[in-house]
Amino acid sequence: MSTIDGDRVMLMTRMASFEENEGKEAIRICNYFRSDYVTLNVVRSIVSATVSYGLVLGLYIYYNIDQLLQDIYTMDLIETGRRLITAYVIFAGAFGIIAYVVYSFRYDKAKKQLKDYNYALRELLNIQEVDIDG
Amino acid sequence: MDNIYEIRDYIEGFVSRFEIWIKAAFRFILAMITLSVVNGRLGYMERLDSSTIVVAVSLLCALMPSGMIVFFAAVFVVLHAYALSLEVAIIVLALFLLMFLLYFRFTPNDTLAVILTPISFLVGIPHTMPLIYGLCGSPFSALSVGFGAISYFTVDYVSDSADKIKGMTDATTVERFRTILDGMIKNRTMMAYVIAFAATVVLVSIIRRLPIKHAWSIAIGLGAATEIIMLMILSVRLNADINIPPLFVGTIIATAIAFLYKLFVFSVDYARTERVQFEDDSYVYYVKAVPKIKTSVKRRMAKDRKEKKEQEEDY
Repeated sequence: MSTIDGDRVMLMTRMASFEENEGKEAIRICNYFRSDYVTLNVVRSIVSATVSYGLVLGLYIYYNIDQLLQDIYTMDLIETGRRLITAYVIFAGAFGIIAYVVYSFRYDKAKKQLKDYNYALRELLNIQEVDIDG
Repeated sequence: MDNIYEIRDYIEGFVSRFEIWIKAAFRFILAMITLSVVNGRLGYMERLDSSTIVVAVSLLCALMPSGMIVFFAAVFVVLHAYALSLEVAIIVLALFLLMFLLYFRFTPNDTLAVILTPISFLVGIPHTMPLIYGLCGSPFSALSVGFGAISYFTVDYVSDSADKIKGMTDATTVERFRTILDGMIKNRTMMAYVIAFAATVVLVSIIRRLPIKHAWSIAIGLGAATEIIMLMILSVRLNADINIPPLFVGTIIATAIAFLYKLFVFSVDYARTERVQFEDDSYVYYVKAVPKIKTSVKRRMAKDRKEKKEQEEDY
């Protein structure tokens, strides 16, 4: 009967702790390619930004509906439309850039965590091989 | 001081032993408090304002992730607002949607701030939240606490203005909508609290990460001072409705709570206690990994183990 190896227990404990906690999210993230993960989340963020923009615009129009109905015949509709589209592009673009930075950072962090985990796994295999050979 | 660490160790041991049940009980109690508060403050929809529904939804929340408490609280607020007036419901729904679409999808772990901050206002310790979130969160938690304050003042406005809103029978839908939105957005007290809370969270979270001695204590002290000074200045500049004596008393209580929190969560014990289970070819391991800082309880236990081992060896 073999005895308990302290180093191996420590290593396995750290690995099990990682698997129980942050490892779940890291493994989920690293199931994607970096470009897929980041692109998917940037697209989702732009959809969120689009819905939010529509919501704020809707509230603004309803709030000023009387004034807008009065001015609708004198207003330059093309110029107004251009301004609204420009504002949307700036808002959604800024939001997309923030999402790109956040999700790229998250992917890199998860990748690094998994790299450390794999390193620990190799170390564990080495210890086991030494035990078997010994 | 050691006594406090001993209490912490006992709590830590107890919590790690019954972790699943304690977390479920915490979610249940939090959901009960939140939904009861919403029903108590708003309660315009009679069907929702029943203890059976509150208990049933709270039980559901106990079995689900904590973010669901926020979801159900938001649903309750919107439904009560709808019973009061369609315009209020639209505005409140839009506000919640904006919060979740623009911010909380990035930081789902921070969503609890949306209900903990309003609860802290109702309990009378609102100044605690910026200090606690500054200690346990990042500078971005400023947005979470800010949204929490906005949620509180929104519910507060709806509750206080219910009679006024009901009385606007002659006004058109647009006029009602405009009056309600103005009342919510142009609330100067809300602005003062949001700005002061956000600044405090940022300051506390930056200072507590600095590589200096007693960083957490300095962060709490400076955070409390910042809160008082900013709220005093903003109450004058924005003409906000902030009472100064309760501000001082509230901040002193908040500082005490923050120090207690620091003792239990941060005090030099960086690592967490972990209970893990794994196996190899020869053994199944049930391991409890304990941080190295030892209190007298653990020292006693370690001493007992050592003596027992020595006795066995002698035998």
